Amino acid sequence: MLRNKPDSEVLGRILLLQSTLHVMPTEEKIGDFICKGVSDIAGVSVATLCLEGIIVSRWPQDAKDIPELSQYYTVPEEHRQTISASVNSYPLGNSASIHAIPLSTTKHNYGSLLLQVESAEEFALYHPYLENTANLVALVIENRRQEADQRQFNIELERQVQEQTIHLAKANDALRDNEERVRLLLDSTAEAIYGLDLKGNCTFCNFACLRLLGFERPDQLLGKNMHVITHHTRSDGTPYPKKDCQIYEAFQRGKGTHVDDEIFWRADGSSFAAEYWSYPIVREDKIVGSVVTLLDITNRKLAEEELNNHRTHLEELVKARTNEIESANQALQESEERYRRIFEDSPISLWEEDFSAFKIYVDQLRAEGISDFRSYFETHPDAVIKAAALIKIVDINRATIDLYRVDNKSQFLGNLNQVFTESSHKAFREEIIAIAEGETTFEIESTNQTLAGDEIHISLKLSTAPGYEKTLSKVLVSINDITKLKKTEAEMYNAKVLAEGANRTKSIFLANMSHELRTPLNAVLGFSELMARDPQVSQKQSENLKIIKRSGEHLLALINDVLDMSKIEAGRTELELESIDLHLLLQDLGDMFRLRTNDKKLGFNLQLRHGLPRYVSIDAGKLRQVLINLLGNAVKFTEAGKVILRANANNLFDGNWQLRIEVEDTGVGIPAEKIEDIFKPFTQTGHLLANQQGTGLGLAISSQFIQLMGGTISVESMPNKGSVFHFEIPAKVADASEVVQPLEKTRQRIVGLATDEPEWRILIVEDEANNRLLLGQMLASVGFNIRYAANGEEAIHQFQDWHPQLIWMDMRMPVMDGYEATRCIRTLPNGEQTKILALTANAFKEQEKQILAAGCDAVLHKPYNEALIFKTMGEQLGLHYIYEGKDESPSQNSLPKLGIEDLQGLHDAWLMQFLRNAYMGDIETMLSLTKTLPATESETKVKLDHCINNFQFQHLIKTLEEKIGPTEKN
Amino acid sequence: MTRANKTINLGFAKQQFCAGSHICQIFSNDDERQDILLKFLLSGLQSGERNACFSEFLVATALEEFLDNYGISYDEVYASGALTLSGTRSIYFQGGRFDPDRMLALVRNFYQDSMNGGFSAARIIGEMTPEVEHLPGGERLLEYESKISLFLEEHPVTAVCQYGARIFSGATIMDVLKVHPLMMVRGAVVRNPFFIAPEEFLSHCKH
Repeated sequence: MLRNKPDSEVLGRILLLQSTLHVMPTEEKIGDFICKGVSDIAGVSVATLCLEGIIVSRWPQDAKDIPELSQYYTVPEEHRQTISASVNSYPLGNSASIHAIPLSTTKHNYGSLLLQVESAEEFALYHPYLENTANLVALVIENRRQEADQRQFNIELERQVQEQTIHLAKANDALRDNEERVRLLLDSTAEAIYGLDLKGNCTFCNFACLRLLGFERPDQLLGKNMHVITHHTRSDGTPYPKKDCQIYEAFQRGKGTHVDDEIFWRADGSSFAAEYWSYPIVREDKIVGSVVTLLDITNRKLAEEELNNHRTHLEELVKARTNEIESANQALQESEERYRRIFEDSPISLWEEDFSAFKIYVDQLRAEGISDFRSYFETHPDAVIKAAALIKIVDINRATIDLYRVDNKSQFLGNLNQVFTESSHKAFREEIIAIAEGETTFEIESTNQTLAGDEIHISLKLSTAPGYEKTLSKVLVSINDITKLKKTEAEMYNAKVLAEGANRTKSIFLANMSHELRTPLNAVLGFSELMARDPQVSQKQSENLKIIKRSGEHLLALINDVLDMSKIEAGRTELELESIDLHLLLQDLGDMFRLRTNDKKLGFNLQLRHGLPRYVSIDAGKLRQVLINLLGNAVKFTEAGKVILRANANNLFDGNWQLRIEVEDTGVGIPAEKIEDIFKPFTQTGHLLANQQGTGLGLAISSQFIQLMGGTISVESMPNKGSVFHFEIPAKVADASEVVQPLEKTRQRIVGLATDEPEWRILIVEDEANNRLLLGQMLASVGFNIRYAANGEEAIHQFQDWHPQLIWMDMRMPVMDGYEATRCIRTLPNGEQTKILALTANAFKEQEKQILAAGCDAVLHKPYNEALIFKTMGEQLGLHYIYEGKDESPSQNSLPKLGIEDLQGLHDAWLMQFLRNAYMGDIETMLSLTKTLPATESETKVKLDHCINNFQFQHLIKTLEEKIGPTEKN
Repeated sequence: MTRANKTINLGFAKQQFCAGSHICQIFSNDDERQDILLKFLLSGLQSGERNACFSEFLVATALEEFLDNYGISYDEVYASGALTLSGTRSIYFQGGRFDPDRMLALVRNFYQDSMNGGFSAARIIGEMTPEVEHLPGGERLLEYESKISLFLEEHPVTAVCQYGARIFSGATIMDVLKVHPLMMVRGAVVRNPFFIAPEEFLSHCKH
């Protein structure tokens, strides 16, 4: 219903628009704001702001152009009233009224506020208010333009002032620069310089002048007569009158003078020998004074005297040295004869060679810019040949003649090509590279050939004779015949290779045997586990089942030991690093063994030393196996007392730690004579242990695992007192976020699938009927739909027929194996989406890589347990299970609240800085501070970040103050 | 919890307002923004309320000097938790996105902590920066402001939102007006006739 007077709400909006207009900084923002503001009030459907005939803003922005409106974009300057008209409204075609309200001030008409109105009656009620608004818009626009003009004017004014200032500054700088240059020039000169006027009074002087004459300030000389102060007395003590002074010649007669045999006098009364130059200063063709340059030549005078004395002394020395050289030549001759005798009679083959021509060649190469002689000679065979031609064998001894089966030196030197066979070329090249690189000694093994045609292995040692290092004209080469030694070495190597091959064959055989044993064992353990779940099993049957399961597990442990040992011997054991919670691992082991020690009435202590890192990167599987073995032995061989598991660590550097773990018991101990053999395979410690079970491989495997992890294991023991096994292994600190949650976290038994899970189709592919049935019953018991296939070919048919979401695939099967079947399924429609999980009794790592390469998503080893089967399926399919005694899957633990104990490991200085920022609520700084915490404090970091992100500043401040007390805020 | 009948002094307006009022200030320069901010915090501290300020441009020393003129120790109010200063970005755009639900939870925590800490009331002044329009979740700014109006009815934190006319477009400023029940006009706080009730506004948002 149409009103007959304006609605106060609409008037309020118009007034608010008017009141807010003044904060809008630009014409565009004014346009957007006003158009959007009026577009849905007072019957206005489209609002357009036009300035000087151009549309600045329109709302709604997607409103259609109406061509006939363009005539209203510009309102005539003299127009101060609204122009109203009727137009066809697009696209509806109905008639709409338009109103062009002028944007006028007393000075100017800026344009129009063009309103397209659907209800003319409603608009009429608010027309005066909108006209008023348009006037205000015009006023604000006028203000903005005046402000912009003023700003532009100010900018121009500032620019002009700046230009003038720069111009003036440049002129001042130039003047100052010139004066400074002259001053700098004078003061940077080492010579003393001063100026004189026509009366001989000082007009200027530099620092060197003050220093030389012993004055502190220029005013001590300026205006004073320099001759009277510094040049008054001659060197023989007689007065030096001004009229005789050579310096005065310059300004009295206009000619320059140079004197070097007079003295000058310092302020303290001492004198010095001086050399000086005096030149007239001429201005406008008139002499106005002179400039004097003065040098202290005391040292030069003394040096001249010293030189004369030295010359006399040298002449005497030359005579004395000539006599000494004659004596030395005689001694050298005698020494040379002694050297010759030793050279000739040595039982070792000796050669004397001359490398001087080669040295010149190398120097030339170096001058050409070659510095990497190894690369050069390795890539330039012609250079090696040239080097060979430049090196001369000067002499060889008798032992050389014997070694190479020649008759005399000439025969040896004439048949060098036969001696240096092709196999010795590489050694020769190494030799010349070493010499070129400046080595003075060099050793290498090589082969030569005698003139009788026998190959000989030699050890060649080359050394530059003392005193010949620069010319290399005498280089001694000794040759040792090592032919017999080499032959023995080769025989030993062949024997070793044969032995290792035999050992590997044995290991592979053992591994295959283990595979055959593990497959049926899988069925034994699995069915006993399944049967134990049956509520109808009697207590007697249940006990029998436990015996079957325990025996099976014992058998499995024995097989695993044999398999581990065979893997180690076959060199197929690999390190598998993962990030773990070390504290949790040790506590779990503690819990496990505390039960066993309780059974035997033994004590058990777990001691984690302060500072032991919590999260580390390590091969957790092997570490666990080693500890189970050591703790198992400790419990097994201890009848009274206690077992202690102790862990400590040393921080080596930058997140790298050395873990030291000890297992101590108060058991039977080990006799001293057995200690050495304790870590060897198939070894047990004799009569005391005769009744104990086991393969005797446990400690050998542990030792090998520790070595593989880069550590060492050892034992200290006393019979009837006990033993301490300890090992040290390196470990890197890991981040808490990288740690994989262990399986034990979800150890509750699974009894079914969650109610909201869809129907899951699982295909089991297994040739061995018992194992097929076992896995099928296990999966069916929690609600999976199961189908079977006995080989790969059947699996493909089942896949095409039934489209299972997941396939358990045995890898070794007749007809078609799991590898081929997996590859084939992956190529079929939907084959990529299906999860294929491999089952294998082969435990070698490279086998796992092949399985994954064939297209499987994960690999499980037999014998498996149901927890692992369900966990793997859960991860692959994103399943939710129902656990025994619970309706739903276990929920995630909520984060424990930050407590004072979390801050124990942090420095007080860090805590104070953090607290100051907590007082200020500076979130960014607090978050950047927590990033600096070491990885060992990652759990604390998570809790602190949680508090910051949840604005729990009071709790943060309270906890921090409890730890360090209140602190200053700045 | 329900809206308290308690009236409070905003520090920059002559009238008294109910605790939990949601006010918009459109400012044209930094002096206007800072003037309102300082007066608002001062009156909050003088009346024993807990205060939070989210601003990129507040200089702590300027605030310290200002409070000192009124005999209030900046150090003491920080230590007592009565005053918290944070950057706009670190509060509103944590993780490089604008998340209205996280912000609402944050204001709820602030209010509950304030009440548990024995403060008479709580107030927040925050300035929005235009980068919000380019961040993930930025399109939910108006939804957030509207939800805040609804939220403050149950958790009466007095809130002043500051928007710069120079840095936001005229159309955005007009949108912002629609989600604030009160706004500042030439130094006075007035009822905003453009305001759309949250129930109505949010029902349009969903569509």
